[in-house]
Amino acid sequence: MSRRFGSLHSAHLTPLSNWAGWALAGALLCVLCGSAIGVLAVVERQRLAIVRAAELSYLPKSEYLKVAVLGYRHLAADLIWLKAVQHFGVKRQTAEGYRWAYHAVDVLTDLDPTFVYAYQMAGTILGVWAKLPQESVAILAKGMGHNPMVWQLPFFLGYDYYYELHDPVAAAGYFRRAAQLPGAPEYLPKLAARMTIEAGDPEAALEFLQRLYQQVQDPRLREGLERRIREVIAERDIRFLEEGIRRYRARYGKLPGSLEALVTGGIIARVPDDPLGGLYQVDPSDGTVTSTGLRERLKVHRH
Amino acid sequence: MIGLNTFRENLRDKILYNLLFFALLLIGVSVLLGMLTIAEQDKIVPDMGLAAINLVGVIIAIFVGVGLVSKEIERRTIYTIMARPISRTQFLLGKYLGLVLTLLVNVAIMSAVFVATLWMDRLPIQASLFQAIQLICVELLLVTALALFFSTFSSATLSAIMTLGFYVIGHVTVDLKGIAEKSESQALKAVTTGLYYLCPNLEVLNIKGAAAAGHMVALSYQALASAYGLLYAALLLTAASLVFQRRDF
Repeated sequence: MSRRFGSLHSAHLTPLSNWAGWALAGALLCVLCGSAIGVLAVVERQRLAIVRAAELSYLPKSEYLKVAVLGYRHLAADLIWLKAVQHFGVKRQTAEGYRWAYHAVDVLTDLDPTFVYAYQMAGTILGVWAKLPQESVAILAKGMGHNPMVWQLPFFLGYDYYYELHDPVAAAGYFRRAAQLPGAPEYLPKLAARMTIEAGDPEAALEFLQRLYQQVQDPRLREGLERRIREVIAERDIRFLEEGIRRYRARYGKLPGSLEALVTGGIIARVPDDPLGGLYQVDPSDGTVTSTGLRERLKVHRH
Repeated sequence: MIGLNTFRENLRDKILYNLLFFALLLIGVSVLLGMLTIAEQDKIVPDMGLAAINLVGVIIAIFVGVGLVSKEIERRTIYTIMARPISRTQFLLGKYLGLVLTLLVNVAIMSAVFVATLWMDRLPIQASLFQAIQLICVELLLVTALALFFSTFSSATLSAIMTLGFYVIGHVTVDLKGIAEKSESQALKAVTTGLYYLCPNLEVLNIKGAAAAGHMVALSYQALASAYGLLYAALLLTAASLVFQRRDF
């Protein structure tokens, strides 16, 4: 139809004015397209990262969303996940931003409760990196409720309870649970037993962290775990030095003035380097050892 | 005969162009996901593929379906057809089968692209995916029947709106039943329960989620769900034929 009308019109026009008309229309198209892109770029720049994170807060409650997306629940869950991943992916995300990302994962796992990867990813990032252990535990526990046969979920829950919430007893329960599930790594049952029988054993805690380190790929998770590993090594060194001080006292009947006294006194071969980049120091009044790099000693290893 | 003509007409309308769109979408998405590191490709690609097959199919079923009869009336071609020795029911059925053929060819090609994408991404091609596609086909048969039914007594635009409306209702009737069970009022309970059984239940035919995760449904379920969809489509076609008998042009 339109083609016929078009040819009718052009029949009345001279070739030159026809050409000019095309050029004008083309120019107009270019101008409109260019300005639309320009305005979009300006608008994008106006939106701060926190606003972008807050857009996840506009996600409707899952019970309404479930109805609204008709039969396409899994697709909707995937799309929300792709959005949430970007918020998890921001290198220096705010705690608020992580909370909204958590909210998004909570909604999308209502739409698709079997989205194991979302639970795992959100759970580990929130626990290891974002320092939001409550949210991490909530999402992992929800995932475990819907997917009781996936060993990684109780495994990461165990991590949260052991290192972030300092509750080795609860952690023990989750490790045992993970160890019994199909596909769980062979080292897990033994390691879980060691970690839980001797809740304060830094060697077992160190081994666990190194195993976990091999499990994860995300560079931020690895960075978070590396920090934890150094903290546990520092804890092990401090115990070693305090044991040395006890033996020094037994032999010489007094506390050493400095850690070097342990070496000169023939108790230890050398003072270990602080993996956190600080220095080990001894308090000459009561013989406790501290590291200037370690902010606080891991609560779980304290007796 | 009418069926084949309808099929040919659909081809002329460039319906199959959507396949290009579908293929590009699916391949594009899977390539894009391959570049993202934190994404679970083996879940998202099957989800996307099944959803796209379903959505593209439903859109064709509705928007071509509502035009099947009204177009003939608008172009006055219906007089020449009616002048021939075929009944109105035959005419309707022919139109229906023609669009169904178009849809099945469409779904078949989309499924082939889907399987090829899975294969390229080295993802498992599970039997459950074909179960889902089979039930999507039944859903399309039902939706086409709905569109045809409405188009026998109303304009194309109105039919499209009503079919779309019933498509939405078809996916939320389960929640309607939930409301019925919770409500105190007996009358409301009776009305919502009545509506639940009266309206087509398309959620019965939706196993995309389980299928994408690789979980098969029981064959008896598949058979029963298909039977439900086909029965409902037959009901709609019979009703459409009855309405069309009385229609004046």
